[in-house]
Amino acid sequence: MNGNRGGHGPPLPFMSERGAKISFRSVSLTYHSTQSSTQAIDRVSFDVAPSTFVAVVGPSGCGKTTLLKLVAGLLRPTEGEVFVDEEKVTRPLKIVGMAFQNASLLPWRTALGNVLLPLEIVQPYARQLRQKKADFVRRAQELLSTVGLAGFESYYPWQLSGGMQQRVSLCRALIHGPKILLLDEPFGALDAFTREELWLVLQRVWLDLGPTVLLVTHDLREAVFLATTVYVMSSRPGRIVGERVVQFNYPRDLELSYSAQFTELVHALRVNMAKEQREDL
Amino acid sequence: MNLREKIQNWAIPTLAVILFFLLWEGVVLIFRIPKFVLPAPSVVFRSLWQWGRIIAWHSGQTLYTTTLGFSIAVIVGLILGWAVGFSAMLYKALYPLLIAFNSIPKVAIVPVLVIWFGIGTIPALLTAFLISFFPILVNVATGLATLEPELRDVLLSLGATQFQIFRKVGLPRTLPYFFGSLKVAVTMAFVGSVISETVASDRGIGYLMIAASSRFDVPLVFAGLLAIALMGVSLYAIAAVLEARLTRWAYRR
Repeated sequence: MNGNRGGHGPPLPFMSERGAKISFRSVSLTYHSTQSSTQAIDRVSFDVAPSTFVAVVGPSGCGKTTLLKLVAGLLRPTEGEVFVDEEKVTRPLKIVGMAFQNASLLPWRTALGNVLLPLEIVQPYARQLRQKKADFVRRAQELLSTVGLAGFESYYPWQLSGGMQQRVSLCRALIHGPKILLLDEPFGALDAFTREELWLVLQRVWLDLGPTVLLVTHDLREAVFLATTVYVMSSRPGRIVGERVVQFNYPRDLELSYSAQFTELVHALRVNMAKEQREDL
Repeated sequence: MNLREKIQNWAIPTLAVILFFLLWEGVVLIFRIPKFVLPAPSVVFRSLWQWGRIIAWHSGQTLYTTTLGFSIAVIVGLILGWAVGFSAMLYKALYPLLIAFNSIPKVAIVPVLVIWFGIGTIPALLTAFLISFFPILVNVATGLATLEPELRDVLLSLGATQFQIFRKVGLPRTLPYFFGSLKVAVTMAFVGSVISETVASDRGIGYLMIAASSRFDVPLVFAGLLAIALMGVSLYAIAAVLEARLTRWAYRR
C-alpha cells in the first residue's frame, strides 16, 4: 500500500520503516470520580494492521478520545488489554505522536522550536541534541516544507492561521519518527476548505512516512476519504457497532469525495450511526 | 517609535501629573486650607528641598528593606508557587494555610516581629516579604495549574518526566503570570516596609513621617509620601520593563 513511498528523495534516517500493529482485546474503561462512575467504552475489540489508516467515527462523548489515550499509554483499561506490536501497553511508549483539535503549540516557541520539542524529550535524540542539532533542525525544516510551511520556520504560533498551526502540530507529532500517529479530531476546528487541504497533507505524510494512523473524528467524509477501514462507535458507553473497509486506491484526490460511490459509503455510515442512536432512545 | 507615539507615551502622562499638582495647589488656595491640614504641593516641594538629605537617607533605608524583602518574596513565591501549582497534593495541603495566613493583617504581625528581632531593619524587611510573596505565589501557581491538558498528554506520551514537563512547558508558561504579579507585589512591598517603620523603627521613611507628624510638620509628612510614591513608581517601571523584555510572546509583539 505504501508503494509510492520515497517519491520525495531518499528516506530519512529518522523515520520508522513501518508502523506498529495495534490491538484492542475486549477493552472496557470506566472513569471513577468521587460522586459517580461513567463507563466510557465497553468491550471494544479491533485490530489496526501495521501502516494502515484507521478512522473511528461516532457521536461526541462516545469515548473516542479514550481509545487514543489507551494506545498512548496515558490510561489503563479497566478490563481487557491493548497491545502495540503484540506487547501489552502499560505505560507511555514513546513511539507515538499525537495531535489534537486545538494545535496546543507552545506560544513562546517558533514553529521550528515547537516541532523540535519531542526531540528534546525522546531518547536517543535528546542525548544527541547537542551534537546533532543541525541535523535535527534540517529534519524539522524538511518536515515543515512537506506540509507546505517552508519559510514559516521562525513564525510564532499567533502569527500563523489555524490551519498552519495544525500543520505545525502535525509536524511535531511526526518529528521523532513515531510508529503510530494518534489524531483526535485534528481538523475539527478548521473551515471546510482548509480541512480538505489538510486531508491531502495528512495523506501525503502518511504515504511517505508510513506510520500506523488511528484517527478519531465525527466527520464521516473525512473518515472515508482518508481511511483504509472505518469503525463506527455507539454513544456512551462506546461500543464498536460497525466496520467498513474503504476500497479506493491511494493517493486519493478531492474529486473522489464527489463520486457516487464515496457519497454512498458516507451515507451508509450515517445510517449505521443513526440506527444506533435510535436504539439508544 | 515615531514622534506621535513618543508624545503619547511621555507627554500625556507627564501632563497628567502636572495637572494633578496644579489642581491640588488650586484647591488649597481657593479653599484656604491651612498647611497643617493639607499643605499645597509648592509647600511640600519646598519641604522636600529643605529636608532633602534627611529624606534621601531615610528613603535609602526604606528602599533597602523593601527591595531585600521583595527579593526574598520573589524566591519564596516562585518556589512555593511552582510547588503548589504542580502538585495537586501540595495544593490541597497548603492552600488553606496560605489563605489563612494571607488574611492576617500584616500590621498585626509587626509587634511579634519586634519581640523577636527588635525594632528597625529586620521587621521592616520581613513585613515587606510577608505582604508581597502571596500575589507572586498565587499567580505562579495559577500559571502552572492552567496548563493545557492536551499539551501535558503530548509530553507524557513521549515519555517525558514530570520534571521535563515542568522545565519545557510549566516554567516558561508561568513567566507572564510571574512578571504580572511582580508589579503588584513590588508596590505591596513598600506598604509592608513603611507600615513596619511607622509602628516600630528608628529609621526609614515611615519613621520619618511619624516623627514629622508628632511635630505637626505636615509638609514633611507629605514630602515623605511623595518620596514613597516616587520609589514605588520607579520599581514598578523596572518590573514592567523586565516583563516586556522577557515575555514578549505573551504580548504578541
